[in-house]
Amino acid sequence: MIRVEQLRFGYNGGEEVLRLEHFVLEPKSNVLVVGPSGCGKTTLLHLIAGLLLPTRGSVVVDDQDLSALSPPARDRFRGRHIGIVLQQFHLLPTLTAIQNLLVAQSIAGLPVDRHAAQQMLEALDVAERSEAYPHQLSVGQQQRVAIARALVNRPKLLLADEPTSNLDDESCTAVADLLLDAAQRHGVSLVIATHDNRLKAKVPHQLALPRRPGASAT
Amino acid sequence: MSPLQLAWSYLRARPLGTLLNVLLLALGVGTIGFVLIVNGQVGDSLTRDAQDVDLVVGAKGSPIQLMLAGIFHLDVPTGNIPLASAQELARNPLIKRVIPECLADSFRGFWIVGTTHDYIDLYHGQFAAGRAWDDRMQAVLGATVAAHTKLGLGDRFVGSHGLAEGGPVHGDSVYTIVGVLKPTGTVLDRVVLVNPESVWFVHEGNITDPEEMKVIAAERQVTVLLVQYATPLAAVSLPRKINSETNMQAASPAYETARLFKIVGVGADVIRAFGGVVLATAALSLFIALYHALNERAYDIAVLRTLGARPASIAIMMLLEAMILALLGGVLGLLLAHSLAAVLAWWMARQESLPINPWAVSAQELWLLVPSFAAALLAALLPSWRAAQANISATLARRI
Repeated sequence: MIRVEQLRFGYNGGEEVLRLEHFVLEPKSNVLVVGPSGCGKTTLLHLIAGLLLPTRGSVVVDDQDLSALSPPARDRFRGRHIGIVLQQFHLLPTLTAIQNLLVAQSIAGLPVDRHAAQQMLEALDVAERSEAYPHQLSVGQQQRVAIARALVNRPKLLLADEPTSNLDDESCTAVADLLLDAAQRHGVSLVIATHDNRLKAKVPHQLALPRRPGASAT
Repeated sequence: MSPLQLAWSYLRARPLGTLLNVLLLALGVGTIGFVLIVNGQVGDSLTRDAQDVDLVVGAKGSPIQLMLAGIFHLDVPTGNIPLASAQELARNPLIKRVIPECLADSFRGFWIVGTTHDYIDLYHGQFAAGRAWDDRMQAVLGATVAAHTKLGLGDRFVGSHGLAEGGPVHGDSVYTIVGVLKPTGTVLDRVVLVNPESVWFVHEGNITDPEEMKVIAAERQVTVLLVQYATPLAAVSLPRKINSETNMQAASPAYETARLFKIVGVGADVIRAFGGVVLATAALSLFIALYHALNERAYDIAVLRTLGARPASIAIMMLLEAMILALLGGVLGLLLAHSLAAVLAWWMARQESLPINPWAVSAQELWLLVPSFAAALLAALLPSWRAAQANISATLARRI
């Protein structure tokens, strides 16, 4: 599903902040990207999502070298094949829960399918809140809607960036189970970037990024 | 969930800001539109009234005043001219038709015009009831006059001297209404028509002595002559001849109307410029709102990008937001313009002034949406571009 080779990355071609010689993720498998703060977990996630491009080396997702795509094609590829769950589960505040899913379909250039969106909300057990605005939802419901949005276009890869930071143990377990369960049920590969040790017990396959030389350990 | 719906959702999410920007745009468009509508309507009205009159002849004085009094009956006349001079002019072969007007009295603010049947013909007047006069002290009412005074066939009234209501009343000279005209949308609606002899009779009294009658007849005067040329060539020589060789004055309605519009046009330009300033303010306000939204929505924009939105789509979404405002502001502005014109029309009708139709919509008005869209586009360009350029990775990383 993911193959990373000889990866080097530095912002604006400057100082190298990430180096990864070789990494492969098989389809329908999960990986936890771990490491201390500042080691480049988020950067790696953004490289896999095509939000950043490597300075050197290659990132291949689903047999597609992301660097080989034109910027619009890369955006479209991301919209159709990669679901992203952000740290704050950020939902668009002016849209209802279901509209947050519909906008994901529309932006990816896929037909807007209300039924499919509703089903996805059902799968995540928030169907009854589909007409509610984000500020009317509990944090747990927002997380479920965000995961539903990431999955609504049936991606092959789901990326989650620090999904459990700032959560208590109970919520942490709930979110982790939710992600793993959703990934398994929809046959999606899951990449979770985290510095949260609580997740290590849940995902045995781990990619540890070394501390970047010179980076402060905050 | 099209980009349009998304843009609309953002506008709906901050109703006050949206309302402010729509109102500012509407005010700018409305002001400019108001000037356009009123200018057009007044212009049409004046053109309709003057289109078949080639030349106005009257006593020396201000040519604009002569035209305002003689054709539009919006001003007092410059004075009178001897009937003999008028009759002499009418014999000129360059002239097809001369329509005399004796202006001295009014009835409830409407001029009583002593004239010939040609005057009704000039404005293609038709009778709603009754007939034209065939003797002195018989009157025909224009449609507006009949409507305002609620008088009809067979009713009797007396004129008062001058235009002011409540002026000295000619109590012993009673007019009888013999005809009422259909509305024409011209000055014909706003006058009381009688024959010249009536006006003379009202001021001379009933003279029976033949000697005295002869003397008075020789001194008779008319106020204005409306002249139609027999040939376009007359325009070259006739006005100059009248102005230099007689004690009368000739004014060309076309020329004087244009001159009048040039004078009034300064005022119109000022109002239009004010509208422009309001539009510029609207653009600035919209720009600030959108620029502010850039920071407010940085994370939203990043989320849209992670969902696969191209930078161009983000820019289009912001532009659409501005375009929706432009459309709302433009349409509301047109409504505002027509409403303002309606208020003015109501006020002018009360002043027995020119009739204007405030709800006449012309296709030309759609051009008024252009400044609205231009202002919105101008305001949205930079924010849209910035939104498209935003560094998504950095925005997403900032919160981590």
